[in-house]
Amino acid sequence: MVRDVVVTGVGLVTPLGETADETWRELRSGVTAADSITRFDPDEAAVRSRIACEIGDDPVATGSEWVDERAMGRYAELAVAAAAEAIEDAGFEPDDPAWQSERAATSIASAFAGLPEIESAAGDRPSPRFLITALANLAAGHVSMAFDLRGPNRSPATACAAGTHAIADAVADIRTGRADVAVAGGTDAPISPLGVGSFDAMRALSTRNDEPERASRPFDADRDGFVLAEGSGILVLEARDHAAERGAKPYAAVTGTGLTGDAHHPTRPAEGGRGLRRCLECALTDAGRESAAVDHVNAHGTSTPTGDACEADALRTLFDTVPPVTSVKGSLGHTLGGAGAIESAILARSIAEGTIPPTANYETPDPACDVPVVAETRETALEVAVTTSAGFGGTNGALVFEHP
Amino acid sequence: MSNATDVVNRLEEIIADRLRVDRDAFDETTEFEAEPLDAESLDMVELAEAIEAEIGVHVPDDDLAEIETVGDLRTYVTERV
Repeated sequence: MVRDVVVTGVGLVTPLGETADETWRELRSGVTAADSITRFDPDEAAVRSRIACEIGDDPVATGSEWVDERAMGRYAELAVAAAAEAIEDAGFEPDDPAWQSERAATSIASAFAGLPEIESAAGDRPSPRFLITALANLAAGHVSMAFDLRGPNRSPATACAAGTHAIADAVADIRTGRADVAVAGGTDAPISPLGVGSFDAMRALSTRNDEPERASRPFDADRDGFVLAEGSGILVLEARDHAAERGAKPYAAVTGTGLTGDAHHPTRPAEGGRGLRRCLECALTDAGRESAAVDHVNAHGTSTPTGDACEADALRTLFDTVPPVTSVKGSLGHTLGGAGAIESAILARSIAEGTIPPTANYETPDPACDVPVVAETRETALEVAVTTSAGFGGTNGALVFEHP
Repeated sequence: MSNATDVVNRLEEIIADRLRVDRDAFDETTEFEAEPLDAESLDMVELAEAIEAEIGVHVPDDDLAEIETVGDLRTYVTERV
């Protein structure tokens, strides 16, 4: 029997706030976290783009009791803090009898993972703990150790689609009976000379250095690249019957997952966003929904000229009438492997509260992105909504969320 | 770069080096997207970055998108050096 999957907890550590409540409040207000880089000296790093969405120096004011700085890379610290919040939000107590460790999965993605840690360590004899601060699966590893999760444990490495894929994998764990509960999401902390420099060299980043707060502007005609960000989003997913037995109140159900490959180009989406469109079709088929049922798209929308146009093409060719589209990256930038998970957490909350958050900095419509972008917070009942992700390597992910 | 000939020589070296072709395999009519240069978007960005670092001319994305042939790039760079 395929079991229904619901979201019973969310945790967010983002440049907008160190909790889901704080992030949501700021997001609704339409502010942006983008500012000049402080983590390192952009002059010394010789980067053209000097903008990022940073979290404060101590990223884990919440959940800090679980963080071991000696053993964790920053990307893992963020995930552990977000997981602590999500598990508490789901109503699990320490030693909760409903928490059966061997039936609890961990699926947490990262794209860059310990790249900044590798960058710092290069050239010296590494410390014995170096590797555990850097490996991409160690966010999932540390979360499982902190909260005693002994079911399936994995970390997709599918670049900017990884967070979405981690959730899709966790949905499969529950549907197929490998787990009753899953702690799923993504994390990245890529603000380092090499992290920023590697996208800067490709000219993928915004260079609106004089107005950093206006730099991330998904789907806007004046967008000129994305803004790199750090953060983590974690969801507690649960079999609907399991959640009901313990009286947990779901935010939303996850009813469909889609995964496709473009087989086209290492960085550029396929023409017309055809890989992403097919991914959405797969997710909707999985959910048993027609495209006309979709009330809202929480888009990948990174604010790059080509990527946003391809995503708009995908949406325009899939939907007869494109539903309201928003990209939260205008407010909190692009967290790579964290992005799809942060956006899923926000979408679960959007459905629970009947609110579409705005796309910050959306001012001038772009004919190449002819979709209805939400520029102001909108209160509206949401029954069915989708979220999309796409990553280098031509990888796509989509999830269907529904009112529970 | 002391004079236009030096600039053109350096530019041709950059093209040959970055796109892995012989200097005599292309001329000013050769299109970047066609054989033997076969350059795609990341190659063009790499060329632009190398031109900025080695010749000191910045080629913004919008201008880069307009450059089709080796001659286009040569004209663009020599006019701005």
